[in-house]
Amino acid sequence: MKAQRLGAWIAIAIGASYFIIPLLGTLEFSLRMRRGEYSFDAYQSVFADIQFRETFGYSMMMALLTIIFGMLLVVPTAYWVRLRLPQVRPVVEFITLLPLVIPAIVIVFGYLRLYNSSSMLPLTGSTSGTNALLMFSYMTLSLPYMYRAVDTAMRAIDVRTLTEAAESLGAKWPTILFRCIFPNVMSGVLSGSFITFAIVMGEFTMAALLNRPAFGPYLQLVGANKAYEPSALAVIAFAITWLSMGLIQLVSRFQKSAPAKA
Amino acid sequence: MAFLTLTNIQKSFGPVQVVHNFNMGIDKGEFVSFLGPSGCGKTTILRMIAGFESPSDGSVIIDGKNQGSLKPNQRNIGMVFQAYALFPNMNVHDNVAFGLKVAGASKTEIDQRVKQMLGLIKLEHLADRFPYQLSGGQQQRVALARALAVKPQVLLLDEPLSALDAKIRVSLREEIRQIQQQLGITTVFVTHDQEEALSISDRIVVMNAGHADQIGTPFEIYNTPATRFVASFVGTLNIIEGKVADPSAGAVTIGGQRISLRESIAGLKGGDSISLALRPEAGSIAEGARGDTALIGEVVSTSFLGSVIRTKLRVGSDIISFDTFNDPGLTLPVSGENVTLRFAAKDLLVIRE
Repeated sequence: MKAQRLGAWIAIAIGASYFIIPLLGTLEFSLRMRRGEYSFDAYQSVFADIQFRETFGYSMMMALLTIIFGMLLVVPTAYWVRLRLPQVRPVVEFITLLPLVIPAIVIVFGYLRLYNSSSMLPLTGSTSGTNALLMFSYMTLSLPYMYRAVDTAMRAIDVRTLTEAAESLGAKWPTILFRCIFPNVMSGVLSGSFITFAIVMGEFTMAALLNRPAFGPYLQLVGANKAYEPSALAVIAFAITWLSMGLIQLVSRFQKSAPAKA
Repeated sequence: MAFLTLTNIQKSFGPVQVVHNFNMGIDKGEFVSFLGPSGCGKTTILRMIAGFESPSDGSVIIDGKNQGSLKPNQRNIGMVFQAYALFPNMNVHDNVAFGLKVAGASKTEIDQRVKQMLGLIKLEHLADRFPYQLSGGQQQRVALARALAVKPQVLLLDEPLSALDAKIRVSLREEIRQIQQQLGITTVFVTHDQEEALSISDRIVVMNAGHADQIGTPFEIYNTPATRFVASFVGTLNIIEGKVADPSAGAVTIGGQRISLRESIAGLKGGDSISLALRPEAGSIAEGARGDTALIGEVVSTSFLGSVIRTKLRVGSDIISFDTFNDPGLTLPVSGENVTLRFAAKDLLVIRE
């Protein structure tokens, strides 16, 4: 029994060290910019860089828009599929999983062919159009996580009966969706939002090929030209992801102990 | 004219017809229960009244107005569901106020009505609680208050007591009946529990495979079942197979013993098979038991059921159960003993298919 436990701990230690040692190495290296002593010079350099602030702010804005438009697409779709079209659920699940199977570069080349400046819908012909195209491509990338998070939250409530109860009390669709359903799937909405945020903040392919000033291409640019700053940026990117994961945990715990407020 | 009229209602899901040509009129303030086993079409009829399902044919008329073109949110019908269906994100006050807010009532009006409804269900002190902080019985009472708050023209109850434990079911069904009578609201109640239906209804519709087998008062349904299905579904009933001996005299034989019926069997021929029904409480083996008809049988078993003792007798190939009120001084018959079961001939009903 004791030997088994020891074996389990060794396996956990090997697994953890596989992740932790490179991360500690990166952190340690990011602190060695000043010769002979540890300092936050690399972080100061990163935060002082105007390009960092611009690209970070741009990606933050894109993440926010992706979350808003993504939820406006996903919540009504998941709701409608659960309520009226349960037979098409496998089809919708398959479609939402496609971005995991199709490489981002294939998707973005598809977009460029469809929406280039000489096409019927020339989104790449203007900055705002390209920004919109980038946001839609982020929505596509985050679809597998967003749809699943919302659909799982909907499974936890009796969508059909709640809808019928609201209808019998005179409510119309917008009232039902925004006052009876949406507040009760808020945990799923928030989980999906945080994952989307983490994806958008680190995404490179779409932003680089659409030539937009996002955080992902900036990470690549700094990595190619500087020594210590890329490690500092890698630690910052990890911190953002972990913060998002932590918030998901916090929200799901909060949801278990108290109901969502309207 | 009836307040709620269902005319030639039919409903099919694909090739399966679940409701066949259903007709009924329900008066204003009447409490009608739809009783039947799972899949008999009772909930489908309720959902067609609410507008959640559309009839394949026929019409639903409430207060003279055909509901066919109206959506569920335009019908002004209150509905209580088996699974309570309270909105988890709203507290008790907000749940009850929901329909009033949707209707655009003023805050004063809403507060007044919610207070009145919570008073009706005696839960004023729980107005700030969320559904997950309430028991099943409390949640269902809140659901009832929410449905009544909008002053619906018809109240629909879809097996509202099925998810509750036995004691709460009894107290809540009495409360529902009392509130219904107090408000005088036309109510349709769906249940598969015959005791529930018998205890609170003005009339009962016994549904079987999409048809209404019998519509009548609880007394009529219990004492004069129209079909074998109604007889077997409502209450405990002995179905006894006999042979016609003399149709003109109403004589039949059961296990070779000849008895006379009150009901006419003139349409049958001698030697025909006949199904008869006898309630367990109609017979007795006690000394000096009253009854103009007797059958001799062998005791098979006796079971103690609390307030009554149920004894099973073998008469020919039939097993007949009868109940005796529990009495500590009672001497129970033993298995294998031959006893005489006495009952009134009028209690022996002829079952027509």
